[in-house]
Amino acid sequence: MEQLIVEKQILELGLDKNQVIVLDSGKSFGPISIAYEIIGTLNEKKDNAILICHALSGDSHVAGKYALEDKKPGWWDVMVGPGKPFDTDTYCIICSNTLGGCRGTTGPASINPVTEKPYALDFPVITINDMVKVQKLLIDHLGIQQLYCVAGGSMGGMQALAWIINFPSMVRSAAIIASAAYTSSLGIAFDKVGRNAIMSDPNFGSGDYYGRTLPRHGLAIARMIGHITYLSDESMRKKFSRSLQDKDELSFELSDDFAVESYLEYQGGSFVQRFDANSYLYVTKAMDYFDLPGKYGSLEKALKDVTARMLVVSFTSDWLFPTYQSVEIVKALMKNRKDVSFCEIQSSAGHDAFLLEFEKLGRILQSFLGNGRTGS
Amino acid sequence: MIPNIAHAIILGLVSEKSSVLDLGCGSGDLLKALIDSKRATGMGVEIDEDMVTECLRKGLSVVQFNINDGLAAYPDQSYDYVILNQTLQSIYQTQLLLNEAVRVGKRVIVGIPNFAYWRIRASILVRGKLPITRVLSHQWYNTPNIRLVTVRDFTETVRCLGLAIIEHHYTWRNRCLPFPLRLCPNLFADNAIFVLSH
Repeated sequence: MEQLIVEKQILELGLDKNQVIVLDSGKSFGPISIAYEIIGTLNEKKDNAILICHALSGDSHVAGKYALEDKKPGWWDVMVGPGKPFDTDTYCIICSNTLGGCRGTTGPASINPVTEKPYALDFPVITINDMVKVQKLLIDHLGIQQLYCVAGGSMGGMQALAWIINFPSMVRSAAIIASAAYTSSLGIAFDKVGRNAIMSDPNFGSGDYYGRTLPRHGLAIARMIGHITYLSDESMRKKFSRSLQDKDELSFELSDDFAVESYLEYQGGSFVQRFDANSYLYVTKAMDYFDLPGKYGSLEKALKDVTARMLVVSFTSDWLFPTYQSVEIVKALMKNRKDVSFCEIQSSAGHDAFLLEFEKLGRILQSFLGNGRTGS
Repeated sequence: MIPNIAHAIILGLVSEKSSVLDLGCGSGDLLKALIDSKRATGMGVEIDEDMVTECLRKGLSVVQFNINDGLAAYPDQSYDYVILNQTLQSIYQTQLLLNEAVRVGKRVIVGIPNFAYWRIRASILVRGKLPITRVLSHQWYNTPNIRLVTVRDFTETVRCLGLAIIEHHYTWRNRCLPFPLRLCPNLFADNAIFVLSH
């Protein structure tokens, strides 16, 4: 198949009233740049747009390559493209980097126009809602009144939930994958350890490390911890067992012996090449604050105005966003008599299954998306 | 494909534009037929991942739940019909589910295989073996039918629960049980469909 070539675009918003957002914290924030990518063509009625929301470490580069020689395609390339479940021959796929990110949308590494230096820790604490407010600015800018679907896995699913609650009339359907209506205590705990690792890196200083030595070590540890939570006992057993890395016997030294150690080192090391430590702090904080039942009194109340057709998908071995959290969403929707479907996919891949079980998930998404069309 | 007589009967029982909850909807054929030909609305519940995917492919709303966990998520009287077609025999707490079904649905349609069907009786009597029939097509060790029930057992249970049978239909080899065999459904029907209400 011909390689899909995509381009990252930047929407620069100014400081006009309709170009800044009021954050959940109460502060007004701007100017904002939004990095986004569009695959497929928006039809004349502008009713075939699908917004895909990325997870913690993702970005706007959802599929395709920027250039033929790129080593890797976008993070959900298996799902998005011509003839794929998010079929770009039919749909216009939009993916933007979240607020607070570090891949083109305004975040802590962006220049604060007041100080003309990176925001660093002057960046305001943001929420999942705030991310969605920024996405809404982009969707408005593109002249889209109603999204055919908002879809996302993990933190992306939280954004999709925020979309259907905050802008119900703008969303025709939503797919919430390996996600939850709130971050569990377990999730907050892991995020806390990750943030601690970053903030106790000697190079972190007060977060103002830009142009100096970066807190790579702390960020790598945060990523390693995060990565463990994305796997499962079974997937690690299958992948690594107790096999040793580049050696036949234990070294009896404190250096790495096991393949799993080397894998985590690699994951940590490659992550620091592409991710800003401050973004990790702010984005995990935004996830920790996400709590629909807390905000609305109950999940049932939170979802009472939803009009979108809903699909909720979980994975059996996901212990970071376990099935019961998806079921809570489904039941709250059912109690509100909303149109909801739910599937729990058998998988040993843990939380990462939403990126890896593309065949099963693809079939489900394709069915879900395809059948909305018949009603239009 | 041979039209399924039970589906045809259930289609006849459900009035136009009703809301239906199909518990144990399988691949969704019945639910799809109800939506297409009766303009019904509703959803299916199914435990099997592949079946759920198949339902989604048909454009149905379906949730992958285990009905044995109960129907707590469904408000009282939230559906015109709750359908339990070829489902009840796989349920652990049958009475509880029947009570829940009449709580959630204004009418409950139940389809069950009749274990007192004469061929089954004959098989046990003559061969001393549990039968493999069209309706009961599994071996004893792999059957999902953990609750074997007869027409008489079922009607007695329904009465014990204080529920009313407002309609019953008996079938035999994928057609309606003819007169005079209809006079003794517990012997001649291999399948039965009941409409229950409070």
